[in-house]
Amino acid sequence: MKKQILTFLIISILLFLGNFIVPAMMNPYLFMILIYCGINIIMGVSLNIINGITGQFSIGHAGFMAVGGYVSAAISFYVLMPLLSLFPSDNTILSLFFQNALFVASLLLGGLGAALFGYLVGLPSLHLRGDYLGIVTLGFGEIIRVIILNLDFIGGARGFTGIPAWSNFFWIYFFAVAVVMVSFRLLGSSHGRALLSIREDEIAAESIGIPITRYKVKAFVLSSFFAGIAGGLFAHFIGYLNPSSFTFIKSFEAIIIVVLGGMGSISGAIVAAVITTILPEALRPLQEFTRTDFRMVIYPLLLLTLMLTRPQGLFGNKELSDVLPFLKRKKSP
Amino acid sequence: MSTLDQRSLLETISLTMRFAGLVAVSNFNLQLQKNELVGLIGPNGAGKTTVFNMLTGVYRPSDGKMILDDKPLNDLKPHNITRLGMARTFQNIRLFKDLSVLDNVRLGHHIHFNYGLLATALQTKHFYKEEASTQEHSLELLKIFDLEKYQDLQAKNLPYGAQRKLEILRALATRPKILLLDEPAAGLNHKETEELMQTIQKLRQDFDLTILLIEHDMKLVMGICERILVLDHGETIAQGKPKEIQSNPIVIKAYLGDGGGEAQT
Ligand SMILES: Nc1ncnc2c1ncn2[C@@H]1O[C@H](COP(=O)(O)OP(=O)(O)O)[C@@H](O)[C@H]1O
Ligand SMILES: [Mg+2]
Repeated sequence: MKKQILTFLIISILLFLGNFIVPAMMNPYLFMILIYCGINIIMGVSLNIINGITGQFSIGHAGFMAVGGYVSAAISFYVLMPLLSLFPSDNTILSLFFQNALFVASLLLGGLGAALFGYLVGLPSLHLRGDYLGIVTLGFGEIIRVIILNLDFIGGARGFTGIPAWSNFFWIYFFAVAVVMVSFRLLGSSHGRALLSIREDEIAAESIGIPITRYKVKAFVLSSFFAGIAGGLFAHFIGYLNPSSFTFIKSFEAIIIVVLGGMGSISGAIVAAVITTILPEALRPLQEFTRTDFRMVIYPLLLLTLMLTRPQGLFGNKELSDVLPFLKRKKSP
Repeated sequence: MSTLDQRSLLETISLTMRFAGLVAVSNFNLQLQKNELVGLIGPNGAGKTTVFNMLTGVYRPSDGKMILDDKPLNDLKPHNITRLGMARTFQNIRLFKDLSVLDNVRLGHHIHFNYGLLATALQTKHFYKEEASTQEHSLELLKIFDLEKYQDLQAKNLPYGAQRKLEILRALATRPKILLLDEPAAGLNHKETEELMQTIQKLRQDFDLTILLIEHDMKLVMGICERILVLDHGETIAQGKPKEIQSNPIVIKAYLGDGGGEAQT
C-alpha cells in the first residue's frame, strides 16, 4: 500500500512538471499529436477490455466517448462555470485547485453517464453473439450521434462551443496512466480471468460458475466509463464538440488500435494507439509534395501489410513484461 | 420421493429431453446417494452426454424434474448449478486453451473468491491475500496429477492426457459435492486409463465426492463403480451392480447392436 502511494505521487509529480515543460518544449502541432496519443491510448486500452479481453465485438465505442464528452461538457458549461463565476477569479492557488477539482468531478460524471449507457447497451445485447452484438453497438453509436444532432442546448449540428479549456497534458496522461494501470490489475485478478474465460469458451466458463452475462455487462460498463472519461478530456481540451467527431469512423479507429496491438494485449493497445495517431500525421508532408491526399491510401496499406505479416497483432496476446522479464513485478504487496 | 430411507443427494424424476422429434433421453430416473460412484454407460448416441447437459443446465429438460440437495434445478442457469455444488468435465475437452495451466485451475476457484473491482484496482491487502490463497490451492490441486511443473504452459500445449486431467482439476477447484465426468478416459491408452480410474477413486475419498461417470466402454467402469445405469436410445435399459450388468442379456444385445464389439474390447 505504501509503495502504491509513493508510485502514485511520483507519477503525479512527473506529470505535473511535464505539464509545464512539455508544451514549452515542442511546437503546438506536435503537442496536439501528443495529446491525441493520450486520448487514443485511453480509447484503445478501454475498448480492449471488451473486444480483446472479453472477446466480444463492440463497434460503437465512439458513442460512449460522445456521451462522456457531452455530459461532462454540459455539466461544466451549465453548472460548474456559473458556480465558479460566483467567486472572484483571482488565479490564486486555491481557485486553481477548486477549478481542477470541479473538472475532475465533471469528468467522472461524464464517465458515469457513459457507463450508464454501457449498461443499457450491454444488458439486452449480451445474449447476442458476434456479428449481432456488433450491429447493435454500431446502431447505438449512430443513434447517440443523431440524438446529439437534435439537442439544441448542447449545440446540435452547429457544435457545442464555449466549453472551458480545463483539460491539459497533466490530466490527459494522468487518466491514461490510471486506465492502463487498472487494466493491468484487472487482468491479474479473478475478475479479469473471468473475462478471459468468456473469450476462451463460454460454455466452459459457465460450467465453473462464472455468470457470463453479468461479466459481459461489467466489461461494457467499465470500458464505456473509461471511454466517457476520454470524451470529457477531449471536450475540455479543444473547448468545442461536434457530433461529426464521433462517427463510426472514430469507433473503427479504436478497433484498429485493439486489433493492431493484438487482441487482449494492453501493451499492444498502447503502442498501436501511438502508431495510429502519429502515422497519418507523419504522412502529411507527402500530401504537400504530391498535391493529392495519398495518406488514406498509404495508411490503410501500411495497416494491411502489418496485419498480413503479423495477423495476431503487434503483441499477440503478450505483454511487454513477457518480452522484457525485468519489467515483471513481484506478486506481493 | 425417498424421504424415509436415506435422502438422495441428487435425484431425477422422469427426466426427458426431446430434440425436434428425436427423444434423446426419456424418463430418466436417478438417485445418487452421498459418496457413491455410479457409472452411466451405453453405446454412442445413447443420450449419456445429454443427461449431463440437462443436469448442469446447458439444456433445459423437456420434461421431468431434477433435485439437488432438495433444490429444484430445472430453471437454473449453469453457473448457479455449479454454485450449488455440481461440477463437470466435457467429452470433447473444453479447456481455456490460450490461458495458462495455472489460470485454468485458478478459474475453477472463481466462485469462492470475494473481492470487488475496487479492491482489484487498488490492489488492497485483502486482494493479495485472496490471490495468494487461490494460487496455493491451485498448486496443491495441480500436484494431484503432477502438473505443477506445467503451470505456466498454455493449456493447449499440454499433452492430450494431461489436458483431460487438467479439466478434472478445474472442476474440482469449484469444490463440488458432485462431480460429473464425461468419458474421462477417452483417448487415453490402457496404462493411463488404469491410473486415471485409480485416481478417481482416490479423489472420491480425499474430497468426499459423489461421482457420476460416463463411459461408453463398459469394461473400464466395472472395477470402480458400485452401481451402473445403462442407456440405449434414451431409455434406461438396465441398472444394478457391475456383475449383474455384465451378464445382462439386454445390455449385451444393446452393445452388440451398436456395430458390435464394444462390450468385448
Ligand atoms: N443439441 C442437440 N440437438 C439435436 N440433437 C442432439 C443434440 N444433442 C444431442 N443430440 C442427439 O441426442 C442423441 C444423444 O446424444 P448424446 O447424449 O451426445 O449421446 P452419448 O453421449 O450417449 O453418445 C444423439 O442422437 C444426438 O445426435
Ligand atoms: Mg457423449
